[in-house]
Amino acid sequence: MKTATGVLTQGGDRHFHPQRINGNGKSRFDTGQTAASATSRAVLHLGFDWGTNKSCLKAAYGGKSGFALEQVIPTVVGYAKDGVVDGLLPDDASVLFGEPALRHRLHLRLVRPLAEGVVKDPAAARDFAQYLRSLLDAPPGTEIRAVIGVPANADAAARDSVREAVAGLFDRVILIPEPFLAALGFRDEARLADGSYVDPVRNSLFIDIGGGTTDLCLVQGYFPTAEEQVSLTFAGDRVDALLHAAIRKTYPDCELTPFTIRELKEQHSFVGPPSAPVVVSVMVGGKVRKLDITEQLGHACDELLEQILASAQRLIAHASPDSVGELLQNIILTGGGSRIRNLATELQRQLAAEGYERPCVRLAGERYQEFVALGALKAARQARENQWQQVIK
Amino acid sequence: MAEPAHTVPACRPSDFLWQRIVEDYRQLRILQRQGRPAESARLLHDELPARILAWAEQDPADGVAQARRLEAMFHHEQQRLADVWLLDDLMESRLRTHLLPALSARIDAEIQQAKQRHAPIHAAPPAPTPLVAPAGDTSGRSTRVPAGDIPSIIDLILERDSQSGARYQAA
Repeated sequence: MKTATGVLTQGGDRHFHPQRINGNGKSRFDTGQTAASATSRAVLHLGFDWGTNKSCLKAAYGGKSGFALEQVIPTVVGYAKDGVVDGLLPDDASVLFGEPALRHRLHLRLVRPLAEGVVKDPAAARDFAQYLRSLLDAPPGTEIRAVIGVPANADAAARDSVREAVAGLFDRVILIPEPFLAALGFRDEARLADGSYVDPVRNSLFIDIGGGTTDLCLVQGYFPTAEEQVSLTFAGDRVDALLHAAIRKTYPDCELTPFTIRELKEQHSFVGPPSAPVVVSVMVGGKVRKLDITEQLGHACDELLEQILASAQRLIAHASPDSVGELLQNIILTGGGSRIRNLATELQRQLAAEGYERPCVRLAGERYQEFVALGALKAARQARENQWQQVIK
Repeated sequence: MAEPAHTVPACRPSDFLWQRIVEDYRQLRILQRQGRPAESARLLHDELPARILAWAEQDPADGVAQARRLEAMFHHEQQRLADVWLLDDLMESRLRTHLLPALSARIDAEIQQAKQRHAPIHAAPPAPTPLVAPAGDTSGRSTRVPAGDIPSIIDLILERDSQSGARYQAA
């Protein structure tokens, strides 16, 4: 089935041509689908972490160990503003996605398809999904089976809107809660026989701090029940909002863009006592201004820590008393928010101050953006044939 | 006059009241679990607050210490009951999926054997005895699916999904 030869979605400025997407001159919306039966087609498994700020794809062909695609992409769609003169955007693209959209944001109307982990703008979500589908570059006839992460508290409507966005793009899908996928992705099966390896799904508390949601999940050898998962809408975006409001209040003559706010947060965020003042240089009205945002940034990040601490305590209280000792040794932070300086040590310190015995909080590591997608790919590889869902459009 | 060397410390009235508060709270949680809203509401809104007030008046500790003690007790009781209910769920699940079907099958086999031993040679075959069915996939699925058993986890997720009326077709 060939798509996107004309208007892809409804909306005045969304007429674009497939060959112009991200300006690479290639037709990217050929979904390569044929009517061949599932049994005779090559299968491409896809682990898809559709995050509010960043999306991660991990794809692999059935029966093969290597990845066909590994990519982290900012979840943003940029539609060319009316009247943009020729030559400003790559290949005069009418729509850009991910990094190119952010780079050329001056001439684009940026739309974030997701908010708080769920689809907010269905048309942009559909466009973004089509772009991701085009990245897969699978040979015609390949069946694409995607496991997609959704927030733990996503309701039926939220899950349906995800299905709606990918209907017809992926042949079959399964939606699985993200916190569990993060734990599954973090698990290193190759080391399970190693006596020194602590299996993270044995008895851990996973804290995945994303842009739209912060998900906490108790994994104690079993798939977590609803009571063992908490999804907070206080996450990176709320930190941005708090920081923005505080800067506005302190420096009313300095209006910064949300993009700058996020950059400042990503570069300087911290919790606990500051190790040094955070003084940043920003461009205001064509002049460089130095702003001391130590207090504003510390306060915004501390709010997040406070929320995480309260939810962690709730989940720890839910765990069996016999398991708590070991659980406290395996508190794992992942997601973009885990990059906040001192977050692990400060959470650990505050848990200890609350009376928990020798808690140990650690970071999942440099691949923090990939665990949900990796877990999703593992799930895709193990799903039974009859478990795959065909979405009704 | 010298006091005897070993005296049993007398219980203060507040100790008795405290014990009642603990029992009432436990009872409250059980009633809530059993889905008995009228009784649990009465306990929660009438009896328990009055008892806590009476205890707080008699207890020598200050308000902060009292609040902390209450908080700790609520937490402790919740944990205890959560453990009990987890065991209860596991036992019930095991009983339904393993023990009862096995027991039923064994009784059935013994009944059939006994009937065969005493039946006339050309009697009609006995009607089948109904067995207790193991818990079905949709209603009695154990809430605990091992984390490594991905297909069973997906089954569980799909089951919940289908209950919520999601629009998709199984392959």
